[in-house]
Formats: sequence, C-alpha cells, structure tokens
Amino acid sequence: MNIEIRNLHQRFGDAVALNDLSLSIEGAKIIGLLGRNGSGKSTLLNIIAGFRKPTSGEVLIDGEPVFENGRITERLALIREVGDTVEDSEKVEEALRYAAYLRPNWNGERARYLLDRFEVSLKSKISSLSRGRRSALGIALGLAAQADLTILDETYLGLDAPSRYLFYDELLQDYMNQPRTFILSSHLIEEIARFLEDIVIIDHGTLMFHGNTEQFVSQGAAVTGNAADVDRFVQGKKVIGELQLGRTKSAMVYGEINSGFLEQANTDGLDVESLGVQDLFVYLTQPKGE
Amino acid sequence: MFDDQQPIYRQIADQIRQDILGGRLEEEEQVMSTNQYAAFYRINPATAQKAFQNLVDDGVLYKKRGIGMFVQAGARAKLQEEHRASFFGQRLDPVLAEARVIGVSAADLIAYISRKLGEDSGQ
Amino acid sequence: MQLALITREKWRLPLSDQALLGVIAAACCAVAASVVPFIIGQFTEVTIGAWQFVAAATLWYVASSGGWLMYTLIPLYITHGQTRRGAFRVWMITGGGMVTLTAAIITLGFLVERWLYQAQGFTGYAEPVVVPDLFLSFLLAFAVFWVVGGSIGGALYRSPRFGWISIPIGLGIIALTGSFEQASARFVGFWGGTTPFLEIETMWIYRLLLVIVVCSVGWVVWMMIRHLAVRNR
Repeated sequence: MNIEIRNLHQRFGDAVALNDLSLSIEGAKIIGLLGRNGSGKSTLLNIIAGFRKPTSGEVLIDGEPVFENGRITERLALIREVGDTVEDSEKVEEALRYAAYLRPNWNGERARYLLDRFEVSLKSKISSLSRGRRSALGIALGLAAQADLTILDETYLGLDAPSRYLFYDELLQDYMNQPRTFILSSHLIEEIARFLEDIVIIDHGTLMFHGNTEQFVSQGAAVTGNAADVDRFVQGKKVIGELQLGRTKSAMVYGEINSGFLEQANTDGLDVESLGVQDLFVYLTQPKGE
Repeated sequence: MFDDQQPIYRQIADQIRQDILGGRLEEEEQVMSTNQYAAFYRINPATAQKAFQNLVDDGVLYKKRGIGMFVQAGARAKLQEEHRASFFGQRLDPVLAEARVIGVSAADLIAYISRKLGEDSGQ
Repeated sequence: MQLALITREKWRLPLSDQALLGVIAAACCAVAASVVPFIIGQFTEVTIGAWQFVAAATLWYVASSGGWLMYTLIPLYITHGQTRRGAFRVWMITGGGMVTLTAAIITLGFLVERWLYQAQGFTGYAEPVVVPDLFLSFLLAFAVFWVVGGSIGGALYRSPRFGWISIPIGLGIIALTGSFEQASARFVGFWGGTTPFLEIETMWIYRLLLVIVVCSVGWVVWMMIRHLAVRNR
C-alpha cells in the first residue's frame, strides 16, 4: 500500500492542527507515529482514513483520493483509542456482527480468538466493559478487519502491561502471517520501538522526522565529560538538550554521528552514548516555551 | 562507548555468533526463521532479516532457497579466528586499564592468570 | 430488481431486529384498535375510529426511525471503512421500504376497521375508504416524516451544539405539509382544519408539492452529511 499525503492543512477555528504536512509511506511495514498531545497526530490519522475532510491538501492511496472513495476506504481500518463501535448499549457480539456486515475482509474467528485471549465476554454490554477491555475490543475489531492499512491510534489505554504485550505479540503475528501496513500511535514509545520499522514524528502540525527507526536512533547521542570539553566539542553541532552535574556535563546532540565524530570524542576524552528512541523523541519535542 | 549500545540487529547477529561458537548451533544446521526470531524477541521481522543478512555477508550463514538459513561449513573455525584476533584489544585492554587505575600490579595479574589456566588444564 | 441491483454487495445493515420489533408493535396496535372500540361499543355508540390514532403514532415512529438511523448509521459506516454516500443510500432505501410498508399496513388497517365496525353494527363512523387515495396520501406523509426525522438526526450528529435548531424547523415543515395534506389533516387532528386543496381535482398539486418537499429535505440531508467529520469519542 502506497500512501501519499500532500500539503495537508487543517484548521479548527483559529487553531492550526496541521500545517502543510506532506509525507509518503510505502510498503508493508509497521510504522510508529509519534507526537506529543495536540501535535496533530489524531487529526492526521482521521484524515488518512477518510474520517475527516482536510481544510486543504489531499491524501492519495495507491494513487486515488481517499475521501468518500469506497474502494479505498474499505481497505482501511482506523481504530481510535478504545474503538468506535455501535451504540454502547449493545453487546460485544453486536459490535462483531456490524463489523462482519461492513468489513469486506472480516475474520470473525480471529476476532473471537482475540477477545477470548483478552478475556472479553461476547455477551458483555459494551457500556459495562472496563477501559482496558474496551481497548481490547478495539484491537480485536482492528486486527480482525484484516485491512491493507490498519491504524491503531492509542489503542492501548487502560490495558495493563501483560495485556499490552499480548497485543504486541498478536500484532506481530498478524503482520508476519499477512504482511500489510500498520500505523501505530502510542505514548509508550519504549515498549513499541523494537518492532517499528519506520518512525514518523510530527510536532506542532508539521513533519519532524520520517525514516527508518535505526537511522533515527543513530542520529542522537549524549556526549558526556568535563563541561568545558563538552562545550568545545558540541560547537557547531545541533544541541537538543543539556544536563549538568557538578563539573560533568551531558549534551544531547542531533545529527549524523559518524566515525569522525566518535574518534574526535574519544581523543577529547568524552563519552558518547546512544539516546534511544524515547529519549531522543523527548529531547526533540520537549516544550521550549515562547 | 557507542558500541555498548548496539542496534538490535547487531545484538541478534552476535547472539547467533555466540551460539555457533558455543556449539549450540552446529555447522550445516538450520537456523530458526526470521519470524521465529521476531516473535521471540518481539522485534520487527525486518530487523531479524537484517541480522541474518549481516551474517550471510560475513560468510557465517548461507541461504537455501525456499527452505531457510543454514550455518556455513567452517563457520565456527572462522569465528574463533576472528574473535581471537580481537580478543586482546577488545576484551583484555579494558581489564588492564582498570587494573592500572586501581593499582593491581603486573606480577599479581600474571600470577592470577597462570593459576586460573593451571586449574582449568588440571581438571 | 432495481433495488436488488443497487443494494447488491452494498446492503450492509442488519435490520431483522428492527423489523421484528415493528411487526410486534403493529400487532399490538391492531389488537388494541379492535378491542378498545369493542368494549366501548358495549356501552355507547362508537362515533370515531381507533385506527387513526395508530396512524398518527406511526407517523412519529417513522420520523424517529429515520432520525435514529441517520444518527447511528453515519458514524458506524465511516468508522467501518464505508462512505457517507453508502450510508445515505442505505438510509434512503430503508426509508423507501419502511414508508411503503407502513403506508400499506395503515391503509389495510382502515379497511379492516371498516369491516369490523360494520360487522359490529357501528354506524356512527363509516366514511368510505378510497384505497389508492388513502395509500398515496399516507405514502407521502410517511415520506415527509422520514426525511424530516433524518434531517434532525443528521443535524444533531453534525453539530451537538446547534443541531437542535433543526427540530423546530423540521416540526414546521411537518406542520406546513400536514396542514394541506389529506392524511394528516384528517387523522392527525391538532393542526388540522384548513384543507384548501382537498378538492379531488386539485389534489395532484399538493401531492406534487409533497414530492418536492421530500426531495428538497432529502437533498438538504445529503448536503449536511456529505463532508461530515466523524466526531471524536
């Protein structure tokens, strides 16, 4: 599946949610969409799935516009947080029944298997489910739809750690059995980073990074040592954060960390450590104030 | 240093190298699939794929079309040789540096090493 | 045939529950409409029909069904990978079916009522029933109620803050059409009285007007939902 996002703008009154965002995604990959609250993540996902028409710009999937294009939207599944279902007064099995009617590739057996693993009873009323169980229902509805593009927007709320790992295992299993595109949005970056092939970061409605996860990690490093040495070393480099303890200082550097960089640091007696996906994301997007 | 926090694919490739060195993987034996590695470590299959590719490029594994990955004949000897080559520089140098910092004498080190090696060969 | 063509592979709404509910409700109404006059008839003369009240209630039932379906169908369809157009089509086809079916049941009810009253010897209420006329009038009345209900449902979904404005407008449209529409004027009493077009010769004019009203309100509904954003949870 090929997703082409062109110059998206979305305004809500005076507020700008997306500002000229362009992005293209190709191939059957698991992609992580990272961004702080209010960065425009959910708005972007809503537009990709045709839930919303943008103020301007367009989304093309396999070359066709998405909005109101049934041929394309049938191949998409966006699950928002705990999932959109029928009325809350209905039972879990009703939600599955509607999904079976509306989803062309629906796999009811898979849905029932997943709900069983998450210990959600088919006979439960949706309104009586705990937040975690509702998330589990959302996960089941999303995975069993077997859509070419499955988007899970914070579909983990209320799930405890064992249930989240079950979710990750089932997601990976689904991806391996039937390779297709997944977009995952989550604040639990540390937990999901290992199985993300690509990462997309948006901040204040604009694209900040898009690329391979390893490539992303290789661009961030913490340089630690004597404060004066560190200051001299980072001159001319992009520093995204600093920490100081007595005479020791750590500077977080963003950019190409090549062998020349490492050798130089070594001669200067400085330690260089990788930041990891989560810390790098935090330093890149932390509030800067006005 | 930066190498302490290697990318996951490097760590997995190293794990397979250790398995071959330690005899847990025999030469000409089939290696678990990328999907099995991905599920076990909860990583992206592409990462496991990259680890395998790394080992194929190094001549440690080879691919049988439609079947899977196998350990190359002679891989163990090859790895032993490579690891011997880097053993002093990568493993011993940090120990000696530490010894110098905390004031362990050369004589003590040599005595300790000879005693250990003697115990091992005596068993 | 045409219906089958339109809906093939696009018919994705389980209606069996609702249909069953409708049948049960209709049966209850039929029993009540025959039992109550029978009891009254034992003590005094029956001068009004009971079925007209069922007809009036059914109009409101159709309106609320149209509204409820629109309100729930839109988000359900879009969040399950379908289109607004698809939801609108299903809403229209369901409406067409429901309006025809209810008009037929109500017309049949009037016929059966006459027959029952005659059999029991009630003479105080025996206006003749012209079947095609009555059916057509109810068909149009139900259609108006369905589209008005749908427009209120759509407006309430689209804007939780201002959607209520559609309620007085919708009631206005119903009142306006009802005031010169045969079925409503005769059977839904509270706004009736003035029926300027009730001459047989000019009947087609306000029937035509009703068709225009149904089409226009339907068009407004489509305009309202065609670019709609699914609400956040």
